[in-house]
Amino acid sequence: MSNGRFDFHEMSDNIEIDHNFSGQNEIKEKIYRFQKNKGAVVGFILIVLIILLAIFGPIISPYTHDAINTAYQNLPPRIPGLEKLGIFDGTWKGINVYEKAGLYDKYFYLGTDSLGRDIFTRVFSGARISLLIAVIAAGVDMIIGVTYGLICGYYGGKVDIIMQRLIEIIHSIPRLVIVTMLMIVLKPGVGSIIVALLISGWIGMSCLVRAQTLKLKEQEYVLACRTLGVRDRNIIFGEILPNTFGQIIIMTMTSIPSAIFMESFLSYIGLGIPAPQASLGSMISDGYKTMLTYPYQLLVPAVLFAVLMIALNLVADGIRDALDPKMKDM
Amino acid sequence: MWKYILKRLGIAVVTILIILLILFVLLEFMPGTPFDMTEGNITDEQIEVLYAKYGLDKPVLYRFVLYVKNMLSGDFGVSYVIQNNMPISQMLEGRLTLSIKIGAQAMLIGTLFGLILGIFAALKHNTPLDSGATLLSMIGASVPSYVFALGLAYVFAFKLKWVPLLYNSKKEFISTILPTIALSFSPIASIARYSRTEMIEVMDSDYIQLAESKGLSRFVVIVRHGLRNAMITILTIMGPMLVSLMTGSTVVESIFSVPGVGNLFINALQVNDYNVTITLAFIFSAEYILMMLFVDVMYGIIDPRIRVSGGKKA
Repeated sequence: MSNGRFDFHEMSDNIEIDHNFSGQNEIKEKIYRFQKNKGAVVGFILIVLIILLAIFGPIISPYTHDAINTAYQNLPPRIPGLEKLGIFDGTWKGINVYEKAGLYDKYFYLGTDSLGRDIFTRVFSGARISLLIAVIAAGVDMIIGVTYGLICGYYGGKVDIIMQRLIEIIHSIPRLVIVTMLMIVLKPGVGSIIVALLISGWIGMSCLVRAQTLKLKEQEYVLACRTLGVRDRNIIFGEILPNTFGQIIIMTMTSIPSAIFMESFLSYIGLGIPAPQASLGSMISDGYKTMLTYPYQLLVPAVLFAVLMIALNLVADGIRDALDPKMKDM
Repeated sequence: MWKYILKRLGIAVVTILIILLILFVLLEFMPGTPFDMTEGNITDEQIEVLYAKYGLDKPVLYRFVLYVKNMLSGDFGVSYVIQNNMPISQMLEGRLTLSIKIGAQAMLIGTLFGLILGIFAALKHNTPLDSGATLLSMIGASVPSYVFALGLAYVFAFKLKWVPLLYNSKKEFISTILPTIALSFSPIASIARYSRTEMIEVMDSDYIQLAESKGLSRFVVIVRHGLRNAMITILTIMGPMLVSLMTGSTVVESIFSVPGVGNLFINALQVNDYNVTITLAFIFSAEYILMMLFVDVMYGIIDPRIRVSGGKKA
């Protein structure tokens, strides 16, 4: 109880802390709020799991994502250990396909596709690419959108009007059209997907930052800075920007799943990641072709994709609620 | 009000023209000539003849004006690959109505079930039922419609055989059931989410208490007094919902091979039929702009505060 403050940690064994007013540091409090949200924690664990598998899965796997081997065509899932329990034992319609093909010591954890490629390696290298594209796109979106929004909001007037017209035009073209049209002109590949996602992706962020800046620039501390002769650049990046961080993080988190969705959509229709590179979208598309005979080839990428999307959205929601309780439930 | 609508219309027209310009420029930059796909080798002279035939030898500005004029009068040129030399406007006949029909069905089901789910969750606020509904809408909002479509196709068309797997023009209604359901998940989810939040807030307000104390029946209170306010929020999310419906419909249509515009779009993208692609891109954009305009005008009618400030939204 030194310097007049109540020490909560001393007493924490026998009193329940009121976390609203306990005067904790801000970040700790936000982490606490995030942890209280069960959905967000589950989502977070799932994402960490998927990221770890996406990084290490393809490395530890004895197979590669693009090695075609006709001897291994359409093998059902088989996992050592679990096969003794009667699941994942490599049987398909009552026949042990592995024994029939003479592959006694081979284990394809999630089976193989119609070209004999290991699905386990492919889904996780696909997830790796999807996540990579989404994170890069969301990151660059953030940088462009934030800068644009700050400039629009801070300078206002003619600059704002002209810059807002550009936004209005891009905003009124559906993302589907922008992205597909760009993918036709650009060569398919990771780089062009990121570019295509960028063109339409930064708009939301810039609108948000602009609105925040318009609000913040009227506040006294900005006026004080101006009076003291601080440069515009320093006011924008040093004073206004830090106060919009919460909103920016929320927006970035929500743009990651939508980038992943768009990437999978492009790959699904054959405009995205070129073969033989795996992508969740193109695997779902391939799996659909063999759905009626080998449903697991569709099930594996579709389930992983669905889980990834749900987890990302859960975390994004959790972060939003933790950073900005006012926006809760919206 | 009229001034506002006129202003919005003016902006819409300008935007459509700009989109046409962008599409025109894209056509110019498309790799190769439109005649690369024609069977056999063609000589440079033949290409020149074809260019003259389609007016491709004229100056760019002249062609742009012609292009805009043609497009606005409904002449979208001809398909090069999918159906040789078939006018695109003829290809679109029937396809557009079918797509709009499926989209409208999905929207209708989405709004109906979304509202029911949302109101239900709001009335049972903070109970396991509420959490269940929230979880359901979370899943519906996160998982893309084509993943749902694949699941539905496998279970109901392949395993249970309740409905045909692929579109059958003789059984039109039955064939549209699965695509409609697949597309309706995302509207259900977002409407449920927003109407739940809105209803929780509205049901707490004074005028609902007044309505209840007047002895109105629960149903009347919820529908006439509560729901009306929730509708404003639902209008605001119509735009994003339409976008997801449009993107979703392309793949969902191709999964069930529905002969709609979405399916045609994917087809055209895959075989590089540029004219068809660009026409559909234009139609999607125009559709989107008109819907947004409609939403904004409706919004102005429902919420007078927006009308007064000239449609400025934060």
